[in-house]
Amino acid sequence: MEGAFFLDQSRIRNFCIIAHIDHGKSTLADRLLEHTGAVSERKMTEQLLDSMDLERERGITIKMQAVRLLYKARDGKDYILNLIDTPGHVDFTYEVSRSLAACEGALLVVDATQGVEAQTIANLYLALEHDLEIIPVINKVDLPSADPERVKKELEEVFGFEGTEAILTSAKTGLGAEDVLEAVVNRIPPPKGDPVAPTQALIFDSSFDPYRGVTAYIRMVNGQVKVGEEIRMMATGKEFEVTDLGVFQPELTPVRQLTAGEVGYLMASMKNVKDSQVGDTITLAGAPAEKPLPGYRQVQPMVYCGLYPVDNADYQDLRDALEKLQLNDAALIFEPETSTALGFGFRCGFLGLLHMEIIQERLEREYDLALIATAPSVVYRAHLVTGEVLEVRNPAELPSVGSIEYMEEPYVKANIILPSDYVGSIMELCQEKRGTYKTMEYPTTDRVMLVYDLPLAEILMDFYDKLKSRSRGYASLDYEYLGHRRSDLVRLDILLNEKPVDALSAIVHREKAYSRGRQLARKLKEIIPRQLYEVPVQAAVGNKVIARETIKAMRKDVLAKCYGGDISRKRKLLEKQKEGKKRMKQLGTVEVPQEAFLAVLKVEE
Amino acid sequence: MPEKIALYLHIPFCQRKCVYCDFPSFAGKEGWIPDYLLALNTELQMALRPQGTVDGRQIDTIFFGGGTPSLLSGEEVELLLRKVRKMAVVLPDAEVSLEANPGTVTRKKLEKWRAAGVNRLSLGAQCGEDRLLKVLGRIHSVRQAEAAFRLAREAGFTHLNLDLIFGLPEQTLVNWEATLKWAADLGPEHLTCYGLQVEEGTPLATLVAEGSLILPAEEETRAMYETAMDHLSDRGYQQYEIASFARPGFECRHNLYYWTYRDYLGVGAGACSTIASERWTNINLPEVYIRRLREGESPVVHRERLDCRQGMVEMIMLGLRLSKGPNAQEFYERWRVSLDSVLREQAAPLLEAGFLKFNNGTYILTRSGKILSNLVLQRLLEPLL
Repeated sequence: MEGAFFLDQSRIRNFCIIAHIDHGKSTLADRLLEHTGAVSERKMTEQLLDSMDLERERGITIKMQAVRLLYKARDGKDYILNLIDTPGHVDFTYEVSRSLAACEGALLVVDATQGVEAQTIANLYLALEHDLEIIPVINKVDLPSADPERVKKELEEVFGFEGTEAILTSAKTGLGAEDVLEAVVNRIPPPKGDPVAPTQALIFDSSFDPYRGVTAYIRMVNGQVKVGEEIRMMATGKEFEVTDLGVFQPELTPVRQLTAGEVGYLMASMKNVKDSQVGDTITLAGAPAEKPLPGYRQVQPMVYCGLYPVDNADYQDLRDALEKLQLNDAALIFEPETSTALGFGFRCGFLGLLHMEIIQERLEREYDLALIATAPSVVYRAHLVTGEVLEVRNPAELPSVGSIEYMEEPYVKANIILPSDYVGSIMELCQEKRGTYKTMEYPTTDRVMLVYDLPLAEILMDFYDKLKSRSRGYASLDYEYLGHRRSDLVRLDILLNEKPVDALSAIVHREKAYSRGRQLARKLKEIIPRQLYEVPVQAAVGNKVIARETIKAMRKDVLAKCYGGDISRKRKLLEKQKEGKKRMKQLGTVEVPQEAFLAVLKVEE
Repeated sequence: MPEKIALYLHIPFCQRKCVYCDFPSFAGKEGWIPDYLLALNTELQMALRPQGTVDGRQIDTIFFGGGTPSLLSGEEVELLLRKVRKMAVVLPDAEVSLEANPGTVTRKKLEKWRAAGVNRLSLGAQCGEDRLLKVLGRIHSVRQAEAAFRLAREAGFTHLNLDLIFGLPEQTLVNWEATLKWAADLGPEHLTCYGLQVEEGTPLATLVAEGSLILPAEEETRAMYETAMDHLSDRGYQQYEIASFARPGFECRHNLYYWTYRDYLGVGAGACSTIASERWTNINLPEVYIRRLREGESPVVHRERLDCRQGMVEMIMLGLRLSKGPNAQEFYERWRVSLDSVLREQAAPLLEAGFLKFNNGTYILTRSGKILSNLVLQRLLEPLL
């Protein structure tokens, strides 16, 4: 009986939840799980869908998952509702787009106290691009500061939703959960795949664990797949034999086959998540589909940084750790590089800053590595006089000025939503950050949506922090890659003790080189502790020194008394001081704390 | 012949606690002294009996430290020393020191101590300015320090030390020079000059943090230390350790036990012992110390076995305090590895920059190395830690 039930696509709904961070996506998901009995309240560790510790700590979803809800609707029929989770950060836009492609509808969750934010809009546009049916949900209506009427008006003016379409919920109290489930059944169309056409399954996520290998999370679009069948990954051409199939309830529950419309998992002795790339199409090796599903893209890191072990002896451990992380993260790329200052390390590519921070934190926390990270850099293009085009991921690798015809840097389209009171100062900020004004809209009288084209490098610097501080936390930002644009860029070098420190080099706009050089020298003077010797700090462009500071030598640090009872204490103090220096890098005779390598991000303008 | 040993007796009582002090010492507990001396006696008995920790080793130096050992009467010191001599072999030429607060000495006490065998007196003069003595919470005046010094001479002490502190709040270089001159004019055989350390949790730390007391600038305290080195050298004192200056032949033998990494037994509340690479520390609170010994329990609260790496670190960090440096021969005999091979790589840039010198097979701190000794030590020992 169950088998027949699965095949009836009219009883399946595939949907996701899109929301700005903190608007209550995960708690709403939890309530839906509870309401359909997928998880009992007691069993629920808070926010089940976010299973990584780091995600829970940061309150964001990095790795999406899916869950199957069995729901008896008010029409008396049973439905399978597949809830596909989406990552909630701009770094993972492509992943979001793939999970949206696995759905027919989306809940658009908006916080009743906050209203529409930039991320909400960006994700909504993505959802509309995929022709999803949108169900607006106004959440947190139980809060005293909730203003659902204002949010309704916003939804109407920004997106053209009728006020009556929105469902009022409180994920905290459970209010409205059933209304949401009913809307999913009644408003979201069932899948329309052809169960007998050649098989096409969309991989919307994959994960790795050392025992099971790679698990692909898939949405069956057309046809079917069974255990034991030979499958082919259409982008990579690799073939595997299916060993396990199943659905999420939310535990993995094995099934014999998956058919068009269904969401489930697939295992096939894949060793690396690269074998199961997000966005790729699975077909049957014996009867392949003619074309893959649209939308596949190879992962394109946007941000690079150098990662070096503080202790060179840990190089191999760092490599092993990166390899292990890569098994589960196809977006992480790395290649060995050497720095005269930092020794042997890796240039690592990330989807964005958050992705970078997560990887660094995991390396330090899970693999107990003491690391030095260089400041993140975008990918610049140097057009050489020879006609050659060089991609520059590490500022230190930029060829000499004479050999460069011109430079290009990546630009993004930035959507900023903010209360209208702050428009002036935020526009000023965008101007300072070399932004080009595009449009300004007023979704409601007191909120503004600004669109600027901005160099991605400026966003990496401190744009987001500044945006938040100048809008007292109210502005939200989302951006998408536009392409590379010509820019007048130079390399800013830093010299410590007259010697250039390659790991401190940065590529900056020519007009900003002078002020940034001065700020950076001053910042380094603050960060680098005084030592036995005087240390000159210089900033230079080409051969020209544009700023100079001096870290004065310590003048006096005489040993304290040390008699019988003081000896252990003194020894332990020395040991503790050494521990404190774990994050210091010895450059020649200068001890440089790890944060110095990120100083370029912290200069004040 | 087993090696000789140093004996330290801790007297943790004070009339008043000085603002900078973070030593195990207590004001207002003098009533405990008789019980405390009984307990001390018990601990000595345990340590000095045959097969005890000292096990027949000859006592080369005895040091009454504090706190304020000069709170003890002549009879009390005499009794303690007599018991030590009864329980263990004290060498006939042993150095027997006692720390005295100038505000607590009398002619009678001094004579009794001297008669009991105390042959070296260390006076906590600290400073030649009454104003600053008051700030520090000292219980004596400059005049009292002078008087105590003369009384000690009259009582027959031929080996006197004066403790001085520089870098005091509101102290200037000129003030400090005056203090040095004042102290040297008194003519002690030994002078100890420490820079004031602001230790966490002391009243001084609070006063400095809240801005009630302002310490001299780094440059000025550096000049004070350099002045001490210059002035005392001019006056015929040799600097044999970071903070210790003596006329030839009057170095403090007891303290040299610590700095040359020899064994010492410490008894009393909060006292520390190191014998045969084993180190232990007694409970700090005198009342608890007394109760434990009365009930036959051990006063030890912490014990550690020093491994080879820790031993090397300590031997170097202590040895470098000395002007002649760590003893390379003894280092090799003890660890079976040469001092030079252990330090060579780290020492190179420090030698080049003039903070260290390689002299007679060992490393010594130069003048600028002494001024920055804390940093130099960190650098030098880093790979060993």
